[in-house]
This record gives sequence, structure tokens and C-alpha cells, in this order.
Amino acid sequence: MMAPKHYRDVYLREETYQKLLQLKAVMGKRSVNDVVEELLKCVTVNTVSSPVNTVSFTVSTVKPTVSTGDSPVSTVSPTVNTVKHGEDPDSNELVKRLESLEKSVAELREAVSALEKGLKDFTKKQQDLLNAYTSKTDQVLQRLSQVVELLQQVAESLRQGSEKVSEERQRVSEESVKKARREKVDACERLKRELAIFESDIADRIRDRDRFFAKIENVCGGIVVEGLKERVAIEKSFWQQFLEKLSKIDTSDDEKIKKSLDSLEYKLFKTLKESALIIFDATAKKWIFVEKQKTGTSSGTDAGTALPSTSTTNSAVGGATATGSGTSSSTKASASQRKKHYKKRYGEEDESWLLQYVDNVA
Amino acid sequence: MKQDVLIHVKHDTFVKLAELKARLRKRSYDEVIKELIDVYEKLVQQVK
Repeated sequence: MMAPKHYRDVYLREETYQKLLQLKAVMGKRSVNDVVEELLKCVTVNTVSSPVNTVSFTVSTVKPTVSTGDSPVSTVSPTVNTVKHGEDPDSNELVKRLESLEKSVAELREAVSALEKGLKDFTKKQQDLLNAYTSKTDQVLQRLSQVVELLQQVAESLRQGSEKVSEERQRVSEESVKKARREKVDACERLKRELAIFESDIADRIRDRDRFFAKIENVCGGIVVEGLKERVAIEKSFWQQFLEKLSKIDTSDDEKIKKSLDSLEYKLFKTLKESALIIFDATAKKWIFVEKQKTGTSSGTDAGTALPSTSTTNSAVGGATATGSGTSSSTKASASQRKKHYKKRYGEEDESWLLQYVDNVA
Repeated sequence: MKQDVLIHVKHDTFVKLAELKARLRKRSYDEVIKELIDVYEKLVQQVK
């Protein structure tokens, strides 16, 4: 049997050949040569330092040699090992070195495991810390969002409030304008309707009464008489009528006066009388209106003050002067003196006292 | 020594076997291959 080119002959025993065939089957190789090559690859001879039968092999790597599935060596992984045969001192030293290496490896593994454990603990602690801060941050964010919501609500309510306030202001201004118009109209209409408005009657309804009376005087053309306790707004024609009626009354008896006047006129009469704005001239038996009214419209008021009573009084006084004896001049002089005296005593403004006195003297 | 079976190996393989045979001081290639098989099996056992 001739060997092919580049092939050499090797004689084996039957049992060795059988083992090779088994390995060939296990490894899935095509030929026996491949099996031998694989064996040589796996088992590299490192040292041969001993005599016969004392051989030591150091295997660097053992790779999986079989690619088929059911092989028992299919899961072989690379390891470092020493196979000892016999009692070689070098191999003993190697064994010792390997043992020390193994020990150091074991120590290293322990250190690594300890490090891993420490790392785990550290990670856990860090995670716990992070969780705590995360929860706090969440709380803070939640509160912040609540605060933002509250601020938005406050801003909204403020906006609504300002809108309401502006609306209210506008409404109030409109109302005040309307009220002013109404008041303006109402004051005149009321005066026309009621003819005489007493301050005591409107005190609880109208706050700014000065304005009211000023309006009556300036706008409505009414007459305002300032009494002792209160002011009275009087319609002009009614006032003329009242004065005419008053001039016709020749008694100071209240009952008779009450009968001759209606209730409003009598009320006005009483007010004027209490305020000493009308005085009964006992001599002339007439009521005199004392000019102390506060009038804005001069012409109307002047016309009002040019009373029959006043003129009557003047005429009476004048008459007395004309028909009087020589004592009239002395009486006049003494009257003027007294007038001065009382002006000094009671002041310039208190005309009523003076006139009353003068009239009484006359 | 009576050789039972003749196998053909490549020249390179044969050279390696011869080197191994010299190092191991084996008398035949059969013994070398047997040694190789034994070591391989031990390795497989250890790995297992």
C-alpha cells in the first residue's frame, strides 16, 4: 500500500486505531490525520525534562474540537491546567506556583466579591438617598405647583375684583350722574308740587342740603328763607300768595290765623314766626316780614321783600311822621340813637331785634 | 513489534509526531498517539 504524496506511513495497534476512529467520530473529522492534528493542537508539549516515563505536559488551551451537537466535548472551555506524571521537581515547583496562583486568584475573587458587595451597598445607599431627595423634590414641585395655582387664582380674583370695582365705579358714576339729573329735576318738580319744602322734612333723605337749597334758589327760581331752626324753600308764586294773605291778617291770634291759612301756609307762618322773620305790628295790626331771607335771586326776593306789610309799616311810620307833632323829629333822633346803640350791642347783622325795637318804639 | 494497522498522516503531522516521539522518548508512534489520546481524555475529564 503506497502512501499518497506528502503523506507518511504510521503503524498503530488495533486498539489505538479504534480509539482514533472513535475520536474521529466524536470530533466529526474526515480523516484520522485530522484527528491526530487536532490532538497535537490540543496537547502541546511544553517540557520534556525527565527521563523515560516522567513527562509533564502543559496545556495552554483546549478548544472545543467537535462541531457536531451530541459530542461530550462540545462544551469544553479554555482552562489552565497541569497534568502530572511522576515525581518531577520542576513539576512540583510548578504545582506550588500554580497553587499560590490559585490562592491569589481566590483572594482576588474574594476581594472582587467584597468590592461588588460594597458597590452594591453604595449603590443602594445612593439610590435611597436619591429616592429621598427625589421624593422631597417631588413634594417641593407639588407645593410649587400649588403655589402657582394659588397665585393664578389670586391673580384671577384680583382681576375680577378690579373689573368689578371698575364696573362698580362706572355704575356709581352713572348713578350719581343720573341722581344729580334726577335731583335737579326732582327738586324743581317737588318745589312746584309741594310749594314749600321744609329742611326738617328732607333732612333724612337729602344729605347735601346746602346744594339742594342752592339749586332751588339758582335753578328753580325758588325762594329760600333761612329760619332759626331750619331753611324753607318756597315756590315763588306761593310765596307771593302767602305774603298777600299774611298782609290781610290783622290779628295775632293763632286760632284765627290758622283758620285763615291752610295747613302748609300755617306751618310756614309758624316757622317764620318762630324764627322772628315775621312780626305782628300791633299798631298797624299787620304782620310784617322782616328781610332776613337768604336769597340768591335778587329780583324775585326783592320783589318778595317789598311786602305790602313792609310798605305798610313804612307808610305807617311815614304817616306817623307826617301827621305827627314836633315830637316826631326828636322821636326819630332818639330812635336812630337807639338803633346805633343796639347795633353796637347785638351786632350789625341782627336786624330783627333792631327793627322790632324800632317798630315797638314807633 | 507487530503493527496491526497502517495509517497515512500528512508530512507536517508526521514531523510533529516524530518530534514528540523523540521528546517523549517513545519507541513507536503508536505509543505517542496513545499518550496523546490519554492526555486529551484526561483534559476532557478535568473540564467536565
